[in-house]
Amino acid sequence: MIRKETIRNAGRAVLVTAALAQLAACATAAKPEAMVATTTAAQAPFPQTLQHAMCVRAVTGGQKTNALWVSKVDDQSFNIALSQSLSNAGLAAPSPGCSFPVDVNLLGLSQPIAGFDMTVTSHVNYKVFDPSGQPLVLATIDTPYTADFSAAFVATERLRLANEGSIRTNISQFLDKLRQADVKVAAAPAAAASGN
Amino acid sequence: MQKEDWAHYYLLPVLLKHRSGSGCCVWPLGWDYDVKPLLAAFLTLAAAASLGGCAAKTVIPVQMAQPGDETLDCAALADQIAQNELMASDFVKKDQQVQRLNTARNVGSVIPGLGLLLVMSTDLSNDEQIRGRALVDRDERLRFLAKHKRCTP
Repeated sequence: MIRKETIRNAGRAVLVTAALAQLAACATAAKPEAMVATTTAAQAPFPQTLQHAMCVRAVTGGQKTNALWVSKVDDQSFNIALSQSLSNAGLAAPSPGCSFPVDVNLLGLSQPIAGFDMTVTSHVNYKVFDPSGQPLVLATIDTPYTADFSAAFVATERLRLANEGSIRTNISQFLDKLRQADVKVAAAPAAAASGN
Repeated sequence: MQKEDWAHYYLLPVLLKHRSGSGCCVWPLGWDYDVKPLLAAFLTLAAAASLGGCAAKTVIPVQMAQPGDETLDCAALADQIAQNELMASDFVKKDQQVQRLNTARNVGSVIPGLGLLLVMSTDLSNDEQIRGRALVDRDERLRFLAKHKRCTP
């Protein structure tokens, strides 16, 4: 018969191992493919002028992930995710035919240091310019995303999933802004930019 | 622990009846009292409270383009640009302070016991960085409008 003390010790060992697993895992960078926004046929169409006419010109503000610290989103990963999202939505221009370049400033990620449910909020500025260089869409988008305990047991993994989810939602909201963009208004420079 | 003693350990001391016999501690009122389970419960609650307090601050950056921007005259544009520049430089300084403090906390994380508390107090909200960068982009927008309105600098 197993003694109570043995069970108790085993329980303690499991708890300590679990705690170490939470702390010891290395942080990994957000994966571009996990940040790609998907579009469905049921969603409103994009303005005709924007279709096959957009590209990502510059992404700034991202941070490289330090494996000993927390997961981050770097410029290149964001660029890939946004470019792929534009492509999936039928907006990406064939190189070199880009008429509506997009500049992105990744203002930052608001992250928790620990927690069972981890909520990350991404803050991103998108600047879309028309062929004459006038701003067509200027949007500041903030999107929270929560990765709960069931998403990943290890905290560093959970934070990465929250980062990816937040950026994916952010790009998705940017695509919504593009759907609402009044491209004709872009011809009048002063009233060119539409905020949110 | 005796079955009938669970209340003795987990309810507030004022609700407990006098108990004599074995135990580690004698309370000021004369209660003979084993504090270990209470201490464990307190630490568990403190840890849960700490985890709950680890959520990032809510950060609200300024919107790059705002309704009514086009109606701003040159004086209003210049005024806003100047204010934003001041605030942005202030945010940059504060952000550097936060980063330095975070680094110090990480270095201190090797201290047994205290280390975990230091790590838990790390600020990853990036509040100052986000608001500072947002103001810089906002100024870019306002400068564009000022240029379009041919405002003199």
